Amino acid sequence: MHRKAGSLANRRWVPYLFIAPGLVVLFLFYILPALVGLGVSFTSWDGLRPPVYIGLGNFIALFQDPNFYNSILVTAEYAILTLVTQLPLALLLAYLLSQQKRGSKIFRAIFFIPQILSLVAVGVLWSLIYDPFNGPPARILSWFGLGPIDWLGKYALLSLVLTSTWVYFGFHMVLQLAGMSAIPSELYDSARLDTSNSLKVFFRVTLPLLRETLLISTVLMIAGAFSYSIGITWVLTRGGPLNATELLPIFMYKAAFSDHQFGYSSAVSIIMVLFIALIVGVVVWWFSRERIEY
Amino acid sequence: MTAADMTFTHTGSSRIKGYLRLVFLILFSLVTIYPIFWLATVALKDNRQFVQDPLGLPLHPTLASFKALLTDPAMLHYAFNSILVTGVAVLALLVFSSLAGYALGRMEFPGKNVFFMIYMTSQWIPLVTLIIPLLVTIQIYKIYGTYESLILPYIASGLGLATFMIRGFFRSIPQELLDSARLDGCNELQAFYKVMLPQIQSGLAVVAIISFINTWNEYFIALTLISKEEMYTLPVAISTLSSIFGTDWPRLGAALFLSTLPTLLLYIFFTDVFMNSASRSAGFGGR
Repeated sequence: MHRKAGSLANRRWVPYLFIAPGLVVLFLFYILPALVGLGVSFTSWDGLRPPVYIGLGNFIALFQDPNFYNSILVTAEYAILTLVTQLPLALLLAYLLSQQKRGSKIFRAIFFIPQILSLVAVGVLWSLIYDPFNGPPARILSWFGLGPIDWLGKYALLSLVLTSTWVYFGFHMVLQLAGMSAIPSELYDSARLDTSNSLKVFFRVTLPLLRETLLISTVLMIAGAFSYSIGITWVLTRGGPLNATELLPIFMYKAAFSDHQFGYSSAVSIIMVLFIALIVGVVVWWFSRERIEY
Repeated sequence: MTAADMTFTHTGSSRIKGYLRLVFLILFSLVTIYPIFWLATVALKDNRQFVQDPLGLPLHPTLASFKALLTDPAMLHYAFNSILVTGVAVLALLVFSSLAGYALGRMEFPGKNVFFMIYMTSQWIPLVTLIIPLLVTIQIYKIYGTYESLILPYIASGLGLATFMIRGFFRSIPQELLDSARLDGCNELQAFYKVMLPQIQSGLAVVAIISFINTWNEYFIALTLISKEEMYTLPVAISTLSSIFGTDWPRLGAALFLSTLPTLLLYIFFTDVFMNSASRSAGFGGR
């Protein structure tokens, strides 16, 4: 009896022992910094002299700052452009691979390769590709007597979208492919009784049942525009020319490390987090609203 | 003749469709792979060959650029930094996430859901938004300019995904196994590392690989928190190379190649791990 009581007491604190080490690191290097960031966003601070509390001053200034609106616009453009290029491409390739019997695993592996490269390596590699003199596109165009395209100048945002499409389409393709393989084959069989047109089957069965995976891809792309788009963009354009590719994370970074406005920059990051929370919230709501019944 | 061949030869039109599909997939694979292939051809030329013909195949391939990099003490030091930071972070991530994943997946205790939500903070607050406050806090902790100042934020930011995955692996182990371990007189700790942990070995490998890639490739935190050149990790070093090597593209290409080699090798040997984690949409949010 005594032993059993001992093991029960044992059990009561053991779970906390298990979660403690990670919790300490998380608290010191994620949660506390997040709270510090929230605090700094209510101050005016150049990083040298002590911060001065200014209430909502940074947020009010933000909403009067044309550069902030420019960044929101650029971020929205970037998000929409990556969506309209990557999603149909991922969907098309996933569909083709789901039909392909031989070698589909090899194709899948090849399409995924850019995803595993570091964003810095991707950025530097594509800065070489976009080179107006030695880059492959410039060379090929010159064979036809065509001048080089001003990739990172006039077309900087489009070039960024092209590069990030190259990186991420494989990931979204794998996601859609997984979604397609989860669709029960009986649904296809019954649909084929009605029509032999495979395009019709795709739009009647595949696309509606892929709603969840399509939504996940969409969320990841939009959230990505607010966060990890910074890597490739920083290496390729630094937000330029002028502020043509100044995505919100770049705007945030420059405010802190070029202009030394740490309070202002923190306010931008708070808005980014709120926006991402909003997107995630909408998706969670969407999923809990109705489950798809097979 | 298999079922696949049957559908293939079913009608003439579906056969043509099959060929068209194959041709399209092959062409698209070539387009996808071309930038990396071109980079390889650049790295295998010397500078003179490259200037004469940036696009063509290397007629006299040379490993000179690779050799120069592998004997460059600065580059070797950056590689050492990356290996150290990534190695410690991945090990710590494995230990912390298997402990927490076990407690959150297989134990009952008050506040469990709250703690789970705390563990998931790094999943919805992107690391980039914490750049400034991290810079502030590591100065308060007096670890600015040390390896710890990189390793600890990397552990914190990878912990959410790692714990989430490990928790899932632990949950898929049948309850009978745990019950019989307890009947045999194991206490919670013994049940954990003698019975349950060996069950998720392949899961631990998955988490190790994903954590390795995310940490190895991380750039922005390292760029911001590290100011001394001798502390640079490979991504930070690579981003400065184009200004150092200037027009020596073969050297630059070789550096890009070498820095990517570890992840590329992992990918080639463990393709399925990448595919499975991607299709579970676990993703690579940490970058």
